[in-house]
Amino acid sequence: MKKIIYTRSDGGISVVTPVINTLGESPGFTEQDALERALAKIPLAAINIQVIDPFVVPSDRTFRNAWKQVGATIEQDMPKARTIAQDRIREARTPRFAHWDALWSKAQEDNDAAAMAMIKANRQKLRDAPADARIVNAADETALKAAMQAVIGDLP
Amino acid sequence: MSFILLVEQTAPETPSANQVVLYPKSDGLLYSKDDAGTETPTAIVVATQAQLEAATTTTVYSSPGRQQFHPSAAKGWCQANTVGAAVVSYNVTSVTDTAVGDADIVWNTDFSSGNYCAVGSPRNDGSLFAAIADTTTTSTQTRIRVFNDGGILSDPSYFMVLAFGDQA
Repeated sequence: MKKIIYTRSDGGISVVTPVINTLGESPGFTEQDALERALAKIPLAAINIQVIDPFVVPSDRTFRNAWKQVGATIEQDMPKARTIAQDRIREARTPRFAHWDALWSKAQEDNDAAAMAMIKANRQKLRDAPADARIVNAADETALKAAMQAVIGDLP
Repeated sequence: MSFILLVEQTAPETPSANQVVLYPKSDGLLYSKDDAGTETPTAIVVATQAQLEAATTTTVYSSPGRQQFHPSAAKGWCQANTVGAAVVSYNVTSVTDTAVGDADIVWNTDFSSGNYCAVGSPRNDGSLFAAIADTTTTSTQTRIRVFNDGGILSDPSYFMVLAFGDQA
């Protein structure tokens, strides 16, 4: 079944899927009927309403909130996608900070200078991770996703 | 052609033992009253939408095509995946994917106002929970938002929403 896309006033994109209800629908109700019914309920503030084939909608939702509408297509807003990737890295590093913080307390108690230096370096790596060059330099969605996974995988 | 003509009236007195009286009343229905004084309509009458919404009369009956107007009936429900495909649904026009963990269920027959009772939950194996959004839930649509245990919007396997209330 075809879908409807439009841009909201906040700049985000909404993807509407018309529904043929499994119960309570009139006999003979078609996909075209469902599409027209859905079009009739698109918000008045919707911008650039387009009917599209379902394959136009990206199947990978990793950077869903960075989608932007270009005509009747959906493209990735790379600056927004990088921000999402950086947020994911921040989420992933949170338990790692807790891990190193616990070891830091122990190293301080033991007055273990070598351990403290190592922990300090690792905590700095965690702080620097969102700004990793692999994220900054990723040219497209695929590269950015791979970079994000690599950076998360490398978190000390 | 022949017929029996009965004049509409108020309920008569209770008949004597082992007797029943039949009489029409001003609502056009035929009633019986037994010797215990119990009055009963003699025909099944289908409740109107207004009667079902009022939910007070006990002398008419609900039909499959109207029972959803009763306050106790769900006015719409839907299980949809994150790309908006409704697996099962009733009274839904469309499902709108607005963002990660965020979807609008657009109703076919609208509610009479934005004040109705909607319930939402994620269908998921992980630890997710859902909320019905406030300002973006209107008489025409219900927005469900699903969060992970860190409070971050997350896609569930399915969004599930059902709603009760008065329809337009």
